Amino acid sequence: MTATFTQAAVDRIARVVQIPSKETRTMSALDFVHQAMEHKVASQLLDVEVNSPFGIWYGDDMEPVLRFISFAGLVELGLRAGYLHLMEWEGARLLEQSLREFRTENPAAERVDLHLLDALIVHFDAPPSGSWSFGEVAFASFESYLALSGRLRGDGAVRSFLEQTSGHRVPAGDWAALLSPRHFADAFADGTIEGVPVTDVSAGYRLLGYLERLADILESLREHTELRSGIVRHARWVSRAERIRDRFGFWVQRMREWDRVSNEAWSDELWSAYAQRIFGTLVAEQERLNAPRPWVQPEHQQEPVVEEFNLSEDKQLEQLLAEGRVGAARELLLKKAMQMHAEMGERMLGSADFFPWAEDLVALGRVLAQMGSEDAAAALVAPIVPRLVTEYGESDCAGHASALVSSAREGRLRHRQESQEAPASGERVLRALDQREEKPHQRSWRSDLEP
Amino acid sequence: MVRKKKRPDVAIAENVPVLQVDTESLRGALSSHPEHAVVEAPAHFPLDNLRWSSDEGWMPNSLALLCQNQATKAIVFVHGFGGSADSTWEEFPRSFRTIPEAALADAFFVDYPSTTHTVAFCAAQFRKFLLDLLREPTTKVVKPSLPDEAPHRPVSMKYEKVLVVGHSMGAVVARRALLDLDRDDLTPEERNSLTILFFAPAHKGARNLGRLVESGLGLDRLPFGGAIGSLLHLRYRSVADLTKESECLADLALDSKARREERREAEENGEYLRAYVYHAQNDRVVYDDKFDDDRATVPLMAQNHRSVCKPRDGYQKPVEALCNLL
Repeated sequence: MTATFTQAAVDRIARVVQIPSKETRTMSALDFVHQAMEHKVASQLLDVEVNSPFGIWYGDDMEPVLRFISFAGLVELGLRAGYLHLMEWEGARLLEQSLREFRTENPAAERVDLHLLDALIVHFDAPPSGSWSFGEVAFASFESYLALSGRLRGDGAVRSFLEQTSGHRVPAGDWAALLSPRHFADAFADGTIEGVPVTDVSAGYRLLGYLERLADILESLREHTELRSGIVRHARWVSRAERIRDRFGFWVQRMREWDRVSNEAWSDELWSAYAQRIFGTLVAEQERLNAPRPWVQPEHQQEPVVEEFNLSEDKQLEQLLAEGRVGAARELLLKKAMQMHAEMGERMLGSADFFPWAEDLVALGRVLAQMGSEDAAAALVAPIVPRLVTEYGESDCAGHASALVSSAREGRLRHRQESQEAPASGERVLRALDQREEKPHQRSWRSDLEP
Repeated sequence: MVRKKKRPDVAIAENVPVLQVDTESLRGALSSHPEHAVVEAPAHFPLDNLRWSSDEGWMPNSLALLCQNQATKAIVFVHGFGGSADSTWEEFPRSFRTIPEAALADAFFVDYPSTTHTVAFCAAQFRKFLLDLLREPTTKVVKPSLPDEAPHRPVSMKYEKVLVVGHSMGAVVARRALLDLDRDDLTPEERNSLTILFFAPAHKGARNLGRLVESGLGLDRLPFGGAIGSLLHLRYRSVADLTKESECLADLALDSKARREERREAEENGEYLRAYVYHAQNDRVVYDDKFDDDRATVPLMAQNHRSVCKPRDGYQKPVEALCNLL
C-alpha cells in the first residue's frame, strides 16, 4: 500500500511540473524521466544559461530542462516531508541515473539553483528511513505546496503577470488600470479599457492569494527548517519577491490617490502589515539562502519605479489636481494641515502671529472642504473659531471659519454621501480655485482663496 | 482510462558517473531528517485532479482525495462566488487525513466557473455530477480519478452516505441541484444517503453585492475593495441571482418548501432537505436568516464570510461539523 501511494505521489509530481494542455496528455513520472533522458535535457542547461544574460526566468518553465529540475526538486521536498518513499517507486533507479548524468553534464551551473537536485542525489546514496506521518505538519504542508504549484502552473495569466514583473519599471498597463476605480474595474473584468489592452489586474489579486497560501505554508513549517528552505528554493516563480512587492506597493500608492469613493479606511500601516505577512518570511529566507536570483537586472539598467515629483508643495498640489488625483492632493493638504495643527497651542498663546497663521489654516480648511473633506476642515478650524470671532469678528477669515463649522454641523458631507453624489473632482476644485485666482503662476493653496 | 503506454528503452547504466557534488556538506544539512520506526500508509491517495467522465471542460481544476481502500462515504465540497477547489477548502485535505471518521470517505472538491455563469446553469451541471456520484460513482467519477495502481473498485459500488458541503453561493448551487435532482425521482435510498452542510450560505441573499464580489474575488487585499466590488458586480451573471429579491432565491425557497411538504404528505423522509447551517459572527456579505425548515443556525464567533469554512490552528469548527455528520 505504501508503494502504491508513492507511485501515485510521484506521478502527481510529474503532472504538476508539466504544462496543462488540452492537446496533449500529461505523462506519468516514469515516462517523464524516460523522455528527459531520451531528449538529453541535461545538455540543454548551458544553452538556457547563455541565452539568459540576466538569469533564467523560471515562471513558465517552458524549457524541458527547467521542468526536469523542478520535478527533481519536488521529489526531494516530498522526501523531506515524509510524503514518499523513493526506493519504492519503480522508476527510482532510472531517476538516479538521470540525475547523476545531469550533474556530470553540468558540473558548474551558475545561474540555476541545483541544491535540491544535489540533495536528491545524496538521498540515493543514503535513503532516509522516514515513514508517513500524514497527520503532521510537514506532510500536509508539502501536499498543500504541491496543490499550489499545480494551480499556479495552470494559471497562465498569473504567470504572465509574474513575467511582466521583471525589473524596477512598472508595466505601462498598470498606470492605465490605476487611473481610477472605474478604469481598474474595467481592467479587472476585461483586461482592457474600451478596447485598449492594459494589465489584467485580476491576475494580480490571484497572485496575492497564491502568495498568502505560500506564506501560510512557510509559517506552518517554522519547526521544519529543511523543508521550509527547500520550498523557498523551489518556489522560483516568486524568486523576484521584492519586485513583486514593489509593484503592488505602487498599486497601493496609486489607489490611495483616487478620489474618495467610499468610507473604506486604508492606511500605510495596513499595507505594510499585509506585505510583511506575505513577503516577510519569504524574502528573509531568500536572503539567507543566497540562491541564484533570476532576472534581476544590473543596477545601472534599472529604471525608477515611479517618476518622482521634484516640485514645490504648491506645484505638487496643482499637478495632482490637474491630473485628477484628488485623493493624493487631499493627503498632501492634510499633511500640511496637521503640521499647522501641531503649532496650535503655541499660536493660541501668542498675539502677533495668531491671525496670519489662522488665515492660512482657514484657507487650507476651505480647500479641503472643496475637496469633500468638510468634516476634517471643520475639525481643524473649530478650536480657533471662538478667538477669531471675538478678536477678528469683522474679518473674512472669521466668517469663513464659522461657515466651515456650520457646514459640517449641517452634515452636508453625509447628505451628499446619502444622495450618492460624488465628492468634488479635481477638475471642480481647480475650477473653483481658478475663479479666485488672477495670477495662476503665483497660485498657492492660500492665495487661491484670497479674494 | 489508460494512461500507460509503451516506453522507449533507456538502459540503466551499471556504473553511474562520479558526482561533482559537495555531498558531505549536503549530508550535514540533511542529517536532521526525521526518522520513524513505523511505516503506516495514509488512508487516502495524494490529493489529485478530479476527472469526471462527463466533465466536458466544465470543472477541470477540481480535486479529489480518494481512499486507498473501498469508500462507503462521499463528501462533495462546493465553493462560493469567486472561490476555487483549493483556495476555499485549503485546509480540509490535511484535516481529512487525520480524522478517523473520514478514513472511509472519498472527498471531491468541485471547482466550477462561479463568476461567469448563472446559478441555474452551475446547478444544472452540478446536478449531473451529483447524479453520477449517486448512481455510477465508480465508472463516472472514481475510476477515472484513481491512480492506475489503485485497487479495483466494484462497478456496482454505491456510497452509503453523500455529504454535500457548500460555502456561500455554493450552498445555493448545491440546494438548487438537489431540488432539481429530486424532481427527477431520486430513489428513497438515494434521498436517505444525502445530507447538506452549509457555511455562510447565500440562500437568503447577499446584504451587499459589492461586498460579495469583494470577498469572493479577494479585492479586500488592497485598498477600495468594496468600491471596486460595487463597480464590478454588474459584470458577473451569478451575482444578480444572489440579491435578496432575486427570482432564483424565491424559487429556491418555494421549491424547498413544496418538496418538503410533498415528502411529509407521502410520509417519506424529508430530512435531506434540511441543511445544517453555520454562520460567522462578522459576516458582512450574506443575510443569516433561517431558510425554510433548515436546522437551527450554529453561530461561529470571530469569523467572517471567507474564514468561516477554513479550519486552521485554533479553529476546528468546520472539521467538527463534518465529523458530526459522518
